[in-house]
Amino acid sequence: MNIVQKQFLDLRKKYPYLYLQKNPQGFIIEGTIFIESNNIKEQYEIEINISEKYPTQIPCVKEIGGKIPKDFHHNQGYFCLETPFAVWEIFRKKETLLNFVDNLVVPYLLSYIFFKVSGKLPFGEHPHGAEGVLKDYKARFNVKDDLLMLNLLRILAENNYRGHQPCPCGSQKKLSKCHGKNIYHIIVDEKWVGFNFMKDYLMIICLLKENNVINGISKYCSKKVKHTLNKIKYNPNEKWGY
Amino acid sequence: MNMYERTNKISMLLEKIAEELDIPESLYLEAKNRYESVGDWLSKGDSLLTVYNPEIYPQGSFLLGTVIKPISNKDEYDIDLVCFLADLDKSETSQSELKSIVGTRLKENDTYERLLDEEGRRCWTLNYANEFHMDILPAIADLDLQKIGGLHQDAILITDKKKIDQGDVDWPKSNPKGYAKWFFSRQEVIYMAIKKQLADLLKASIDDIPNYKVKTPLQRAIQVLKRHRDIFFSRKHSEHKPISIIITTLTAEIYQGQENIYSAIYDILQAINEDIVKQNGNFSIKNPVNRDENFADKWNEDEKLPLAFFDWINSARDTFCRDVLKKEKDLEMMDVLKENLGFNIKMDRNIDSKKIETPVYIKVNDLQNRRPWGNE
Repeated sequence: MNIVQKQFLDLRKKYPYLYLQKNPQGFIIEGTIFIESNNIKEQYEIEINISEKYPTQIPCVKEIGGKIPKDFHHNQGYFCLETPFAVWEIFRKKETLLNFVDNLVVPYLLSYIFFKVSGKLPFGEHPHGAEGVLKDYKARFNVKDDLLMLNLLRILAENNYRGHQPCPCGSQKKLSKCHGKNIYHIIVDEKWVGFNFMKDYLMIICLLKENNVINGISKYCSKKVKHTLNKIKYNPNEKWGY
Repeated sequence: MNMYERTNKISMLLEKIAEELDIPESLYLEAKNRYESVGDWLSKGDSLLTVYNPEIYPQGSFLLGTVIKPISNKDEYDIDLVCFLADLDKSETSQSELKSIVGTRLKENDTYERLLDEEGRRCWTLNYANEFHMDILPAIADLDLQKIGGLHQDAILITDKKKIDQGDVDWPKSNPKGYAKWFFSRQEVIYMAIKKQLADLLKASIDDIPNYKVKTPLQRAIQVLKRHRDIFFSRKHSEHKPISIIITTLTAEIYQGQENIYSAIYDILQAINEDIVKQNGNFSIKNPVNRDENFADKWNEDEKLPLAFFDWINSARDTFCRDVLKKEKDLEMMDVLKENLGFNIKMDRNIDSKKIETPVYIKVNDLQNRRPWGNE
């Protein structure tokens, strides 16, 4: 039995109005989610697209009942659930459809209900585009400086973590004793390769060049970076993990 | 119509179809009458069997409430009865003797003698033309198993012509009452709920509602699936048609108390796959009340049987989990169901819209810290 079919059985125990269909690209789950939150009852018609590469490729979701306007946090018609990295991190903790719906889809729908009632989002929102992505990385890795953040991300992009090398922040400490601590757990995560990090990285390079934080991009698109892009057969049109 | 409304609609259509598939009440009562008369004949009056304290009880789909109409009006309903001789021990008799004392008593009645078919492998069969055939299974207690208690307390020993020919040893085992107890335990809560609903509706006491009037989504799902099987195998390879007990057992094992017939069928079809019918590489569908009995025994001797079973499951999945779900209009849904469940049943499209059930809402009061993002 396919992993999607198996996980779908568990999903249906909690969400009994979802239905699974096979399609040439993988699977589609279609149906209704009924949510009740603080005495507000709502129902949404959703469609979850699951690619053949699941769970490496994270599913993407859209609403098909016309209730959520397309200008409310959508990307190519699909929900922008969180920053790509956050989605990857939440999904990676437990790679199941139930976790995906419980901890990403339902919170998104609740955010929208909250927004409809109060006019604002319960936890705010990320700035759009590269800016939001960069800001999220800075908050996660506890880094204040854009250039330093880029240099740390470059280590990830080049897959070139050397703990004894000097930290790019200029502290003269070893990377492993300084900011390296913040990215080490990612490097050693075997699932890391499944996340389309290069898309984030290239976006951030472009943003910082536009903002004149860096003069040129060649330093950040080294041979090693190109090698990684080749290795993962980078395709800018492909979605982030989701 | 959204997906939820659509599946509700399908469920109601299936409910109607299942009612049509069921044995009509008048016929059910007639059958009951008939088997009670046979029971009286076997167990009362000048019957020799009286000394063995006989009990006649139904088994199989008649007992489980999963009887369905035969697909052709020319065919008859199957009614399976056990003729249980409580006070006869296997040390005092043999399979051939047990079979023959029951047969002899039947033949003492002119009517039954006339209705009696050729001797079957395990049963005596009475043919009521154009109505039923009634299989009567001679049985005695399986004292060894009954000692264990629990669901085994109704374990019986039955006869088998093949075993008789091999020297009349090794009594085949069975336990239809225990199986029925197991089956009803799989739907206990919803069964009581429906019974109460029915009593309220009829302003009657719950004890006055006869059991046969209560039909759970599990029983309905089995009826619909059996019908789908009958139609599927009427079109090809009928000799590989899976036996009802396999469908009933798998379905009841998977059933989780789903409140509507469509959800029950959907979940059952999603869950049935090779893994759940295999053990150590062999096909195995155990009798829940006798782990030594494998309903899928024959599947291991003839690979065409499991292939035919999964062919059919795939076809049922196409019907119920794909084709009918794609239809937006009642009429189109009906057409899909009609094509796959047959034509000789009345299909009523008028649905009581009050019966639309209320959905279960997922309650979430704590918001999780999530901040949407966008790249446009």
